[in-house]
Amino acid sequence: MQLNLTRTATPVIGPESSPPIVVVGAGPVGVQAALDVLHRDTFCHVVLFGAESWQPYNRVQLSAYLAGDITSAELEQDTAGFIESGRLEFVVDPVVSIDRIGKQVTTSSGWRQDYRYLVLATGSAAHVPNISGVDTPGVYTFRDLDDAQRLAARRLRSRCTVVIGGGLLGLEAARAMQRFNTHVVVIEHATHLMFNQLDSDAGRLLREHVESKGIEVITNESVAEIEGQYRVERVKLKGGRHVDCDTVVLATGIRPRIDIARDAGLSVGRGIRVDHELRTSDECIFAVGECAEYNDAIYGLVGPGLEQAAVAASIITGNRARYAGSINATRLKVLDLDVFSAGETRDEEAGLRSVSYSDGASIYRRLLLRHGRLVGVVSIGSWNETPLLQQQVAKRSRLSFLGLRRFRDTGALLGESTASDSVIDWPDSAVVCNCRQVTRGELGVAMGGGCKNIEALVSATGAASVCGSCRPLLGGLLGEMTRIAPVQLWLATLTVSLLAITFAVLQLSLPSPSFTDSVQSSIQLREWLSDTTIRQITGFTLAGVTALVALMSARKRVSWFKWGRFTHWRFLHVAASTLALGLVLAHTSASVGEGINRWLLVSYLGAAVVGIALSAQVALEHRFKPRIAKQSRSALLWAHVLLVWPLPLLLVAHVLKTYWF
Amino acid sequence: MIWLLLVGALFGYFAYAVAALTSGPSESNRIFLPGKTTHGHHQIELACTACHADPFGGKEVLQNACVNCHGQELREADDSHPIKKFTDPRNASRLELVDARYCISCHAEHHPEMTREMGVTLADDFCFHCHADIGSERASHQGMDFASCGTAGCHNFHDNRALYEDFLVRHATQAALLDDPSVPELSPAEIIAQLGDYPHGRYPLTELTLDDADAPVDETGDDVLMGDWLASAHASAGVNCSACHSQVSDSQPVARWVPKPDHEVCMTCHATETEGFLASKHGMRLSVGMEPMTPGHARISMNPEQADQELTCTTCHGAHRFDTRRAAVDSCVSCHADSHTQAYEGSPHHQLWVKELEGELAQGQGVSCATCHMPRVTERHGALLTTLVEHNQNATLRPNEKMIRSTCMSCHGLAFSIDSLADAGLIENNFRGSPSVHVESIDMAVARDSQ
Repeated sequence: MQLNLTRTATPVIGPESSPPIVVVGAGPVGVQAALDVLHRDTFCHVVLFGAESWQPYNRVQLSAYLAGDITSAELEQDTAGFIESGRLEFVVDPVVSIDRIGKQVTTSSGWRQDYRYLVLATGSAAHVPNISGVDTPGVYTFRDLDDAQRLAARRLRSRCTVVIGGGLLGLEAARAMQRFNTHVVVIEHATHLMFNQLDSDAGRLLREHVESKGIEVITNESVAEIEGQYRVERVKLKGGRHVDCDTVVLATGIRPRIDIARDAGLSVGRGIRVDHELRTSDECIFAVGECAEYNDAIYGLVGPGLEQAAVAASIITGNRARYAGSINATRLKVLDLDVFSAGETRDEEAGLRSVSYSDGASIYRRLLLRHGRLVGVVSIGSWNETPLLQQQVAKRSRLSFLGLRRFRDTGALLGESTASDSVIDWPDSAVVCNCRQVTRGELGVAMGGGCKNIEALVSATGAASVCGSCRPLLGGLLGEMTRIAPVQLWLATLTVSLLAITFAVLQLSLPSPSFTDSVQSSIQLREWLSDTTIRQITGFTLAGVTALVALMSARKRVSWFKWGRFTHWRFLHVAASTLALGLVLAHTSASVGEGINRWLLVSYLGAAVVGIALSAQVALEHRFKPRIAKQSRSALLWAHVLLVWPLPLLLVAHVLKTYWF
Repeated sequence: MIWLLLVGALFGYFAYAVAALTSGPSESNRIFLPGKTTHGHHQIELACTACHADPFGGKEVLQNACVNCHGQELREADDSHPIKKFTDPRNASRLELVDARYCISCHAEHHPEMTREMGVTLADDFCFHCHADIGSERASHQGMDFASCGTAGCHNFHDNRALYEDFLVRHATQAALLDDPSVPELSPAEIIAQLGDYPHGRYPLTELTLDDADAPVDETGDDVLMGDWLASAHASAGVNCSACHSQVSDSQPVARWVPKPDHEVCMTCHATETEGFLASKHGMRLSVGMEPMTPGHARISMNPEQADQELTCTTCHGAHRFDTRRAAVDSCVSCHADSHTQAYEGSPHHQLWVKELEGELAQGQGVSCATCHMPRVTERHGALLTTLVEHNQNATLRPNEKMIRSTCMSCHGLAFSIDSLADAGLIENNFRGSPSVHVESIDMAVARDSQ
């Protein structure tokens, strides 16, 4: 995939001989900007300048590549279609200067390229800290594919690797370096890992997890010196401690590449300053991605960069768009641990209120509120509500008192009805792919349009084509779309439900057996059923069976009652209810009674009929559309509970009344 | 949380209902009703404690309630199946079939689905339980359906006063119409004369005039009212305004003017009549402390215009005039609208009544509604013989054979009476014509007697 460094083709000039759009930087954001422009304007011509001698590749997945999770082919970004059609030209030749008056860029080989619009997506370089010994052999940065290949080669011989920097990149590098039983030490100068994304409690949990994977973590400590005569031998910490090692990986952050912009006289701060249309101080020059600074903020994640690329492409192609800043949202698996953060994450800040929940072990969740509105979320461990929370952070939603109370007690903010483990049940507005901002709704449309596997879905929507962390979600979406596993015992539950509905229908439609007209008759069913003793036997048996039925509710709601599987309990619930309906039929001789008796029967039978519908729904859920199934299930459950609540009291009243009179 | 609130609310409602239940008749008691009550008790079904006097009392409490109202009646009827017959150890085995020591064994209340005629909740052939071998004991009964035992004119479970064998034989040869068809004379004067303790001081038995009227000036009625009173037996027997309108009670020791005296005032002199009224369907609600009955409460056909007319003594008798002739027909037909009542006008009985009103017949020879339904009953109380009107119009109905001795046989022969009362069509057209049914009871009794 390595390219010839020399430029061979002459750019094809567009139909009106107007200069092309020039994109500087072939990282994911630059490529996205180029592709977006090409998609939006079918006559337009784009020249993409890259500095690395590789086909454009997906930098975000470098650590997965280094860890061996994906191949180099999977790392590549698909631009072939446009290159073949001649509308996109990819040039490996770093741009060194911009002539704003002549509207030209100059490359290191001296080539001058005219531009109509210039998009700077120069990204950032690894920040190399000013420590003595950083130029010793054995010290690596981890920024591009060349770095990754060097590290991959080095890893085989390394016994002990020190990773300087406990951010996301540092942790991923640590995991990748550990592959061949290399001892890895992560040194973080801040108080906890992933300082920019997590608060201290979440950082502590993450540290425990990282350590459990065999990676040594040192926090609140920085490196004073890297020592070694010919090669790296040890790292000396400011606290005086020495860590012996043979390899050092620098993951100490990024530095936006703004040199050519500054040299061209564009307004720069830490990055290249842009307005809400991603324009720099020159109206023909745009800046996107890690090199751009909007409202004093630089976004170091790929998601916001892609968002910016889309806005810039819109403006360039003459459409209206407005960039209003991004929510820094990360939904990642760090060494197999779910880590989510969105919005603000600082521990202490005036005017911020923090509400947290922890199960004491592996789950930690914290909400940050400003004046009652959600401005930040941090979560360790899986949490199915994060897609919705991300939306709420973006909208700065106001949280209800009840919601917060539920969150404090149970860790669930939105409650059962609005979130689910399965991505299928996410609402259409929920973002599945953070990088491409692909929503559940868009994925649904794509699947409706015939996408049957992950690859088709990826190419149709762009989801999972960037960092790939949502790939399992797509898998879940596709897999479960075609086949949802039926619940345990579904056939038995359904069969018993049918029997139950028979009883219920009989209760409502069957005329009570009449009393016989003769005491000499041998069949005296009604007389027998109405006998006081038989009534008491059927009645108290019924009460007992009803108590058995109620046990499932206890299994579901009483926290210490964990015995047995819930599906078995549910079957018992349905089966016992069916038996109870049969007993009701006998106890009442199929009549509906009056007064309290009728109330009781209405409550009992109503709960049973809704319950039967509910159990049939549960049994056949795998045949329904999940979303519909979920809605009707929660409605039925609600109705079931509504009819059940007066039952205990009515039953007591019925029994007392019978003996009272 | 919300569930707890709802449960609390429901519990509160039940607590209120129980409190209301124990404090007397109330509409809120309806939720405790397990089923529609019989024709006999539906008027007082919301007065739960009238029968269910004590909570958790079981059968004994109910038995007491039955006996409280119906015990006297059964004693007078010389009950053919009294409880003492079943407490006899020799009959213990029969109790397993039907526990006849308790009224509710055969008359279960609140069970419309099993309730038959006379409020019986057993199958019609219940006699079979004990009398299965009657066919072999009495050849004449061989092959008879056990459901036919109770057919009018043969047997009743409780009251056989007009149906026992000797009685049938004794009256077997009576003609359809007796020689001197008339009902006994009422005897207020004789009774007063025989009463040793009649309060002559208060009711001096002298005819009063308008000048004697002792109502306060501002309470004196108009001319019509005073005329009604002067024309009544009250005025002629020395019963002044104050006798009814001026009341003294424990809480009100000073005499107080009562504008509308109730049945309890009437009761001070007309105790037997009022007791009969309170035991009847007309007065049963008053007897359990409820509002008076109105025709709207009735299950049989009533004139809808009168649906809200409350029934007390003066409803039928008319305050001040106290005209017994009006009470005997006009009052009845103003409310009752069933076919039997509607067929009365123009019926043979009615023609006699018209003649009596016109003076063509002597008093007691016309037949009004009251003649049959509120019969004149002669009773002996020691040395005192009284003839008074039975104000419980249901006492001689259901079964209607109870009417034979007290009423029909004042004018008609036994055989004709039995056949007539067994003919539903004849009852419906108010006895226009001869009975088309023949009950063989007298023939069978005579045949057996001659053997």
